Amino acid sequence: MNNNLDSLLKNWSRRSRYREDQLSDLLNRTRLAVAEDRERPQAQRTAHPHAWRYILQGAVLASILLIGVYLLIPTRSVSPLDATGIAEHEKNVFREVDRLFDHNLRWAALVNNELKMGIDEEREGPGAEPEFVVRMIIVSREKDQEQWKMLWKADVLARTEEFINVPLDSDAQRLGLWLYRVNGNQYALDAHLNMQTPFVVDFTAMNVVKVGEPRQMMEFEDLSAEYRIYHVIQTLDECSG
Amino acid sequence: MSELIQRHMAPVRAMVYPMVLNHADADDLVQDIFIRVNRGIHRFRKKAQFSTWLYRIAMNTTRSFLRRKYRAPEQAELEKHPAASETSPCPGDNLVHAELDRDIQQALDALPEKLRAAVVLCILQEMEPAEAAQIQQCTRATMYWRIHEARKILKNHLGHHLTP
Repeated sequence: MNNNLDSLLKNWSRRSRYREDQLSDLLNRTRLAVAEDRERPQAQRTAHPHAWRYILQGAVLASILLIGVYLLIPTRSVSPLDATGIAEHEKNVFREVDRLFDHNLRWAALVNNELKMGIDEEREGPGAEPEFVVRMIIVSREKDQEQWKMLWKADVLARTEEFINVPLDSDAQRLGLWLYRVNGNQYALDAHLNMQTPFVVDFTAMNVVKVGEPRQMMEFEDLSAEYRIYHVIQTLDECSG
Repeated sequence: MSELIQRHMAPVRAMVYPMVLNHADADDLVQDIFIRVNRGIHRFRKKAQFSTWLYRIAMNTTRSFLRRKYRAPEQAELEKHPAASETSPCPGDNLVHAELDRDIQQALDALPEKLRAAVVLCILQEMEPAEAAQIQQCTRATMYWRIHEARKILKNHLGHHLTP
């Protein structure tokens, strides 16, 4: 049945292709367009004319966020699930960053209060608005303690079906995420975390999650403490209450 | 650059047309894509395959175009289903395949952009899902999933043209 469908599509594709004379005409027009573009002044030809403005804006914004967000993040929590609620003001940070860059961000992340961004250099004009914030946290507690302590936290601005690769302290260390809708309110989240500091973590996991419902991804322990990794996804346009 | 355009123009156009389903738009996009390639050729890293880099630019440019187009719905509606005479450069084919071609175009048009891209790359261009995933900057598993979803939707739309 697949072959049948594939043949149908391939035959249609062959029928809709240009003839040699049409291709030749297009070839001439394309060569001319490229030559004309080459003649234009450099300033008009830059693929990303606002790149410097973006970088400057990003640097200023990052500085403001480093100070502002630091004050908002709790370092201790009675239950680790308390830390998985993404507050409206935290989403606002992403909304503002995304607006500032005309939706040209491939990804944006707040990793332990540090703003990281990747600009889509190939995109011209506004892209699709991001849909989700994915939060991943690592909490720990001493074996004789009740209270959990937040060790690491990352909020990542995400769109469905787009792979996001957030570099951490070095190229080899990264947080990779991709998200796609399974059905209704359920999404599959594929996560890969490779981190050397503050401790060594290297894992890949896939979970089907509901929007707004935190999920424990894994737990591990050493001689003195236990650790848990949680994640949650929330829509960007939804109030978390 | 001229040779490069000559060598790659036909495959690029064959990739762009099923995405936009309009010959005039496909022609404009082909020119736009090679202008971008010419501007960015110094950024091409030789460790990557040139065709993968080129097709990534082609698909990103097409994606930007589609998003602009669907944000202006009046225009999108006008050009949504081009006339049969426009769909094929061969008039004889139009008579035989007019209904089938129209149904296929409507079915492709109904696919979400990312699923349509998966069909174009993996079925029409016969690329390996790994290479298509590189072009679309997603994981191979995502690409497999997109192909699977796209086939499901297309079979639903085109079932009456398929033999059991």
